[in-house]
Amino acid sequence: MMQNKKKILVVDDDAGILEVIKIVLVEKNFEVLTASEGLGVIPGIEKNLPDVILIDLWMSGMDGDEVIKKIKCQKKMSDIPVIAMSALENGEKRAEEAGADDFLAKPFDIDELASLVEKYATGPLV
Amino acid sequence: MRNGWSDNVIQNIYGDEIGDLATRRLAQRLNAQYAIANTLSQHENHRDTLTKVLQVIGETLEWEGGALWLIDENTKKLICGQVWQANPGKNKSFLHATQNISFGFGEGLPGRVWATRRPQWVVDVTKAPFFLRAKEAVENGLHGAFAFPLLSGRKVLGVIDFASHEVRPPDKDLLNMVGAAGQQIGQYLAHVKTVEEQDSLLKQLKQERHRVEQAAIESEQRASELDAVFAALGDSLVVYDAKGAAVSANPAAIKMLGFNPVGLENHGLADKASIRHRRGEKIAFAELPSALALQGQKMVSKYIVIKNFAGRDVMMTCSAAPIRRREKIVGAVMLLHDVSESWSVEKQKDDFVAIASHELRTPISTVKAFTQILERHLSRSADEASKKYIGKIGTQLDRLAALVDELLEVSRIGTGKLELNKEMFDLEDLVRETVEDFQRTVDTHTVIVKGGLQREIFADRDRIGQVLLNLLSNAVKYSPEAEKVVVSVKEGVGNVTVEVKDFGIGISRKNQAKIFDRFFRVSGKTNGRFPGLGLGLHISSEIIKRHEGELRVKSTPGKGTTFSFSLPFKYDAK
Repeated sequence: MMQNKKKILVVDDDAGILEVIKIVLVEKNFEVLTASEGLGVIPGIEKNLPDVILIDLWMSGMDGDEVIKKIKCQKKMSDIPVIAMSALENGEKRAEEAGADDFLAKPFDIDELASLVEKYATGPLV
Repeated sequence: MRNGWSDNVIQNIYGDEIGDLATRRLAQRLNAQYAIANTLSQHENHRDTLTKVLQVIGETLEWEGGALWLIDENTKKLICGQVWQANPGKNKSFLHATQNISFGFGEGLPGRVWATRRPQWVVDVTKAPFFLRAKEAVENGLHGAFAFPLLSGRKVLGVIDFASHEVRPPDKDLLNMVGAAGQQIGQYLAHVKTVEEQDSLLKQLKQERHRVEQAAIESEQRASELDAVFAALGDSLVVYDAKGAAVSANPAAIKMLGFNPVGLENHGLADKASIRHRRGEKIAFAELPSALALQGQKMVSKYIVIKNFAGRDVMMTCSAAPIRRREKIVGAVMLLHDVSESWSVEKQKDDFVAIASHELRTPISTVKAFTQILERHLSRSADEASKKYIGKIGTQLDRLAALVDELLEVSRIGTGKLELNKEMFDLEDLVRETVEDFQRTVDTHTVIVKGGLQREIFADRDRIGQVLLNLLSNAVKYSPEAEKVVVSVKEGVGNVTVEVKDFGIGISRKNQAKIFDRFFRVSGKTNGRFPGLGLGLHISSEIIKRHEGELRVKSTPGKGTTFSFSLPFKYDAK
């Protein structure tokens, strides 16, 4: 029996980043959903309920911090693990303040990305 | 030549003709008296008056020449003040003698008269042994003379004497007359003196008053100018008295604060407006620029944060200076200048750098990830060449990422935003760790560690490690022909010195002065071999500076270079 693939939602306004992360995660047997801006993401999360959300902190249109805060406020999605990504100096601090569960600095190592996602995808719910 | 003995008709003051000699002489005397009184009553300057007096005496009494003698206060002698001659141009030597001689008390004819306070007649001066100008008198044919004192009360103010070509028998009436005249002239002189003094005093007083008036006007002008400046100034200005109570505030200050600080004592304004350090910490009372100015510090300027009328925090520069009156400090002036605009610009600049580095890191991130993916793919194939090339791309990417980091660092340092996390740590341990990590990436050189440190130091461990790494990589980079790099840790008095020594190409004296500058790179044929932004040493130097130390260099071109820095064991946490 084929186990359902874990759904990873990747939110970043840079197409290159989305593409390369997708390649890495698909290779690790994840189903990857992508979104390129924060605002429209919330209804999408409600609908698709991903297992892990990877989100960049600084996107045009809305700061990722805000989206993370919103996610963590809503009962239906608040326990989805959120990994914040950023190329900002103070990214880790901001991630913590926004309520993210973990942080990935850019530029990142693809192995580091993969293991982080795997860690949160194989969560207690499984 | 007019001759007293001639029979020329003499007219009396009424113009009538006089007949015999006695009557004539009486008429003369009366004329003279009248003329003297008349002259003295004219309101001319006293020089002219006195000359005229001599003239009228001489003319009415028909004498050849006369002189006015005044007492010189300095020498206490009689000197000639005025002369009169019936025939100017004649009696030259006598005139000259008269003008150049001086008589002490009792000396000569005038001196005698000064002493006796009585008029004196000399029948023939050429025969008078006391007459000091006898020689000249002989030369000029002068014989008869008389002199009388100029008295004010009992005080002799001067003497007048006259001479004639004739030998004249004593004329008692004449002497009496001139005696009386002497009183008149004396009074006049006394009066003149007083008036002169008064005049001079008056003049001085007038000048003084004028000066004071001028000063008052200027002071008023300046005051109104200052008032205008005070009122119009866009910056907030507060004036304190010597005790730190605010005594005056300009409209801009009241507007900015939302209240009038006048009356607040003991620098109470700082409390009420919540004046803080730039980073938000409370300012100690003694650190307030206004307090420092009252202590005498000439010009204090600090960045502060203050709550304005709307309760908003505003960044300002706070400057203060003492007010002195005759060396004593009587107050202070404090100026507040809003810099929040420029701080927001700085913030923007900050944001620019943050944005720029973010934007740069994003494609770097993507390329790095793809490179790694490629590497994984290629690792399964036998395509050695491709693997090698991918490896090189990866290395360059890491360099690129490091450069972006450096840029951000340098920009932080430039805007003073480099934050250090100081802690107590084992330096010897950090050195060994850093050298070990570094040695793993370098096989061309051996890094030797000498010395050590037993105690811990207080510094930012990561940053010091960063400096060490920078120096190590420079050492290797600039000594391609050498085989070793020596790191030494030496304990000094109250500090520790770390040295990194290489045996490479060295640095010329000229360049030694510049290597810690931003973006400085060695030019010339080494350019292609040592590319880079040239920021490493600058950043390292700044980090050490922030630790109260200094990054130093000693080098001999062709022999090698030693970089060294000292860190104090402990100092106040800043």
